[in-house]
Amino acid sequence: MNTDDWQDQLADRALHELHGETPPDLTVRVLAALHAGSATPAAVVALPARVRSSARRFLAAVAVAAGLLIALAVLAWPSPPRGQTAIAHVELAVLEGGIAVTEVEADDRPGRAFTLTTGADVAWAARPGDLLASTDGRGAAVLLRPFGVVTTEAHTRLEVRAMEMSVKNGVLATGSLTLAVVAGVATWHTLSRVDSAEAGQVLRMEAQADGGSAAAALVTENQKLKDELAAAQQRAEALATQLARQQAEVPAKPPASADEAAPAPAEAAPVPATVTFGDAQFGDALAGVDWQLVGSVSAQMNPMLAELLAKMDHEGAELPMELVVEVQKLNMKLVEQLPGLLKAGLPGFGPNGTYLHPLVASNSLASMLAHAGQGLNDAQRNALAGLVRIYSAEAQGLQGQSHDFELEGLAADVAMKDRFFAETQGLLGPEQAALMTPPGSLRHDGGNLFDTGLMFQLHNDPIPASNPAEFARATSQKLEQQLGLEPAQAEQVRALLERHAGAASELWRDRGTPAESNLRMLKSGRGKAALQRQLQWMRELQQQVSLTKEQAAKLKGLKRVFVPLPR
Amino acid sequence: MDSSRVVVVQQRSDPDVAALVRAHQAEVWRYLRYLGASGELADDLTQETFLTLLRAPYEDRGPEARSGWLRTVARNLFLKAVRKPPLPMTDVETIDAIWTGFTREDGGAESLTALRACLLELDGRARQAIALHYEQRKSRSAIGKELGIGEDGVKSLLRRVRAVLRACVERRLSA
Repeated sequence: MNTDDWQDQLADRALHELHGETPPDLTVRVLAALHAGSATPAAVVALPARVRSSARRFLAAVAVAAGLLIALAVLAWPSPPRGQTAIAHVELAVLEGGIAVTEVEADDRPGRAFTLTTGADVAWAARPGDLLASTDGRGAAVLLRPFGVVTTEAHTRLEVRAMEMSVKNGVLATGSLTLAVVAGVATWHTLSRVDSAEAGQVLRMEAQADGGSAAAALVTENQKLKDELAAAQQRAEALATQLARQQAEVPAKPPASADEAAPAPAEAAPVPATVTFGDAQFGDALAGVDWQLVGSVSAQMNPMLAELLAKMDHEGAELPMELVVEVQKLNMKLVEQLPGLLKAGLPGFGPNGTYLHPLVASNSLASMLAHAGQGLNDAQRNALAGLVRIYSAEAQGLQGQSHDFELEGLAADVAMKDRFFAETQGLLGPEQAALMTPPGSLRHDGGNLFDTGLMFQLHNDPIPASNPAEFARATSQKLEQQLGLEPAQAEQVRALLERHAGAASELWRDRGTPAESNLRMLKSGRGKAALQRQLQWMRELQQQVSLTKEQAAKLKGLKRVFVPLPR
Repeated sequence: MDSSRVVVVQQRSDPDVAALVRAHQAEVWRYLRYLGASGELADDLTQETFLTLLRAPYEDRGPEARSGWLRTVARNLFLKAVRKPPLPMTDVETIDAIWTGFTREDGGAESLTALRACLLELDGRARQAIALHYEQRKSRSAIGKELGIGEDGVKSLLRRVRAVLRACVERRLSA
């Protein structure tokens, strides 16, 4: 560029700034990053912007808010000592689809390749150079403990690029894992954000505050409770023996008065330890879930989600990180229960679709209500059992349907479950209903644990935009990369998108809120409206834009919903 | 060296750090955008630039030297992020001379005020092109359709208008 070019570029920037692109205030972010310690080793300076910014934002915020000072130390990357290679010990559970793993050869292990399918749950020693690929031309969802859930589009290939180690309580653990996207698209999901990376970019995942230790902690806690129970039983037996001895020595008392003989008031329904709503086909999978834990966690987490939304539902709101960390920990406990259900093939669109299957949702609800002292009565239990049977059959039917686009499956599953939850809500008393959907929780997707918005959260891709043209431009750029479009095709897609976005006044009515931009919890209805509109433009795109076979397959397999977030 | 002016920034308290960031962040961010960084990359690299300053053994010699130091770090981080080789010194001097001519002593606030006033002087096609491109964020092809010219014509028109605005800003600042 010559002098005139630089002068012109500066004038261009100044004009953009006068029209709204002003410098952000990064003070809090810099302070948080400073307190969080070194989050970025020199080796990963060239990470893509959005991955780096949000990853660091979360790490920093978690460290500051929760007081978890994790001392990050780059131990063996990028220059491991001779004969020593960086290894990240992760647990890999496939929640949806299949994953082919190709391990590079190392001194202490031969190179090997294996495929994991839905429900598989294995320990994996990941090394730089190892490859992960979604199989069968489908996307996949994988729980990588302690990092969280990673979803991939079809034909996605990921390469393990780097890892950082942290020392926590004297124990060496993997603090972060960086995956390079060789092909396709991968997304890392946490409560406070969704990070995506496309071919040529990298995804840097930070270990969650509780993450991988959650399962181990639960096992320890379980054992402790069992020990306490055994000790209590021993004490009870000793007391009973002592009491019997005393009774034998003391003369019999006169009969008790009528008041004393009255039965104790009925206690609240006990928390179901096992399955409340069973099913012949999925009995084993349901029996494998710890429903007491699910009920307890849901009873804590559901109001927290509503509280989180309330705190974020105004202009300029900042993330209440302590609350976010708590919710994240509880969420991880629920995610831990998922692999067994997914392995059993319980139908549903994506992992959250399975989590909201009528059988799972009804058992969660029953357990949660009992935990809160508002257990279902017999009439409610019978009525809900009837609903579960009807809607489970419908879910099974949906699974067998074929669609032109994968996203049609999401729309159908959501519509069915919306009806199920509405009918379920109708069976409950006011206090129970308030526990299921706490006040304010229906205003945003994912505002409670019995909301199909949870399904959208995994698939939404909110695009902040001032107008339809801006939305069309940003979305067509994403599609250009994801579908591998040529520039001429991308221009056709942009024009088509601009027309559709311009006609969709319902998508431009409300400005985006902090809860939407920071938590990805979109206002209720926004994601659904965008999905319906997207299915229309996808059909039109399929008919009007000349796509190659490969591009058409990618369009069909697309699982992202591009949602305009009006600025 | 005047030792009373030397501050080891690493030892500053949070309020000091916050004040330092607030004083320079807009300039660093704008500079990165001027170099060609996207908004998100500029966010990241601005943060990284300050962290470099706060973690490195750095002797503070006042705002002007600090600005120059921050620009150098930001530029190097940007080139590394976009995988480009270091710029020749002559290019750096050109880029920074244009930049300091814009930012002057107030980080660019006066230049922006002048630019805002100059925009009001535009009329006709020039004003329309600026509105379509910067306000309505329309693509060149869409602007071309509205103005009845091709995409290259739009590009040339916008560049000409920006040159007019630059001249206007210089005139106002030197008045």
